[in-house]
Amino acid sequence: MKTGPILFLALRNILGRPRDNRDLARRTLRGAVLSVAVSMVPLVVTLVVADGMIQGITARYIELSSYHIQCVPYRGQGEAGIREALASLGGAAGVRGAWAESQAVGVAFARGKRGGALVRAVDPGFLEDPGTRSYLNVLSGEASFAGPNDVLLGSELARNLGAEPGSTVNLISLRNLRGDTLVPRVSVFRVRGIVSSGYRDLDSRWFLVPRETSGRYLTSETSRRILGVKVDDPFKPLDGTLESIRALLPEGWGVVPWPETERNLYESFRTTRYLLLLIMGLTVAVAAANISSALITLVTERSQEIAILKGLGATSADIGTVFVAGGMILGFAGSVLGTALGILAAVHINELIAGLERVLGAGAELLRLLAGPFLDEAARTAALPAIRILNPDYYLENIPVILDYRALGGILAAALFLSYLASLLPARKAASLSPLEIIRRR
Amino acid sequence: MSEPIIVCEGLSKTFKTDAEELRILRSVNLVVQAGSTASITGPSGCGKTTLLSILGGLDSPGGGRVRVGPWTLHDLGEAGLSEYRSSFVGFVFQFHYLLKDFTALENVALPAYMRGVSKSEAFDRAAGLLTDLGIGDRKDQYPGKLSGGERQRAAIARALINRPAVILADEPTGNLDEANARSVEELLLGLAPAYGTTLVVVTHDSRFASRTDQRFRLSEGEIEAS
Repeated sequence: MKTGPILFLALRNILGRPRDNRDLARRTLRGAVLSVAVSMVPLVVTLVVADGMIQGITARYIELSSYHIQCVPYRGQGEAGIREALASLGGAAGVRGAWAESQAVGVAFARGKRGGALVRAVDPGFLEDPGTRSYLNVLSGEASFAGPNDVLLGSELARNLGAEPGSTVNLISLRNLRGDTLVPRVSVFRVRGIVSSGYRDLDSRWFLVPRETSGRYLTSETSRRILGVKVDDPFKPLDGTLESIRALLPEGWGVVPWPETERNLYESFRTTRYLLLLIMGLTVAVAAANISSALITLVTERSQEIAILKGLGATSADIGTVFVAGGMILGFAGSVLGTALGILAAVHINELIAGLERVLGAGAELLRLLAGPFLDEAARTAALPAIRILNPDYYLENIPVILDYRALGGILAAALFLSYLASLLPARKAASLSPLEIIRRR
Repeated sequence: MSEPIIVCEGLSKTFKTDAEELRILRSVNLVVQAGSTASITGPSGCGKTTLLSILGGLDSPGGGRVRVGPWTLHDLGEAGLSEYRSSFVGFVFQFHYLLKDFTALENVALPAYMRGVSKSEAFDRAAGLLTDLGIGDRKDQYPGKLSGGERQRAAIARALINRPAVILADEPTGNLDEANARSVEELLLGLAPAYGTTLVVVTHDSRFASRTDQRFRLSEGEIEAS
């Protein structure tokens, strides 16, 4: 049988006559479509929200810490080499900005307290970059350098040291004195500002100093020097920009994009995302099983009609294809409906979370009202803290909405495949009916 | 004298149940001439419907040989029987067996559409047949809205849509009132000259049977020419 009559029969099979709602099998089919749609909603929301959160968290890391691309010298480079390489990046395609940075470890101490420090000697331009500014929270003071001995401290490190803007902190770093001999050097800094990346592991170690004068305490032998590059859109394929940078840089430099520098973080996110999608996918598989049972009901109810079709010349394969097509149409309808609802929910996820926060806040107020007789005056009148599901200080104030159309297409295709699998059993049952059922059923 | 179109030689059919083996057809020998009308009569349970089911490719012969036109039914597999049913024979049952979710027009057009005729041609052909059979104005009704006679006419139109060489009718008037029964009888008997088909009808109606060109009586699993 050709595709036209297959679809004609499949559609009529699952839709029935217009305005006929009495049919139990058709109502069961509609229920199966709805169950697929409902199961798709959390799957799509998980996909969109997971992608948004991963991108949000990754963006914070690569804007503040590891850059979009790092250019790393294979061997020690003097200041002249660094400047030459930095200047060469001026014409690279898609590059938004590039800065030199020296990194070393040291020990910070103040007022008898001490803590390990990751010394980042950065260009002022890095602090002024819009990407840096949008993610760097300035908790107190300024996020800029006014003098050669200014330092910006990560919030946790500042707390450990008891430091605040205007106070003094000391840094013990290592200097290479003669040959292989490393000697400690103590430098004194004035706290210019206290900043937060939003991540405790960074905030507990950050010791940001101006790079221009860092040569006094960070030598090329005891520090790591890199060029940090930011591009227009770090989440688009970076291949072209990487090629361009490689072509422009002098000999002796390696170019590393952020998915490699943040490989552990990136792989961890990806694995978590796949696991979440797999778990959510199981609910779609269960919903697809509803299609199977609904189609089996239809086959049982319509066995005489199926036999009539066979009596009219339809082969077993034709009948099986009609039911597989019907199952896939049901799966497609449920998947499209569920995907649309899921996208709608995901696009408004921040509003939904805000609404949930308000509902939880109102619930807390209500609980306090009900518990009023058992509370003292202070507990009854004190302002309740606002309930925040996403803490803006440490995490994401808003989840970025990322619609990955390829992944959504993949989910739709997977749902269709599940519908196909679900319709095989009823299709086989329908195909096995004999045309003699016409007479037997009577 | 025309060529024979249906030839059964020693056709037998046995049904096995848990308790016994029922030999419905013992040794049926039957020859029906092309373009003629033929009737098969006999007492209830004598195997008339079984014989018609075998001739229509709905059931397989147990033994013997059955040839309908160029088709040797005893040799055909499932795909061959499907092709035979869709191209060479049309069936009219006692109960109309129209598909309840399809209009009269769709019911009639379906066998042609399934067979590869374009949708527009199948529906045009179906509309023409329904008009020929006097229910053109009822083509958009679902079977539930048609009278018994109208349903049977729609079923006859459906049997004719693929221009079959043979129409097999199993008690086509058995479920109709007298007036509708006579009307359907006239219609079926007029098929041979009008459409060039052969009609084989199983009936209890002796008057209907007496009007056919060839008359057979099935008794105890064997055919007796009457």
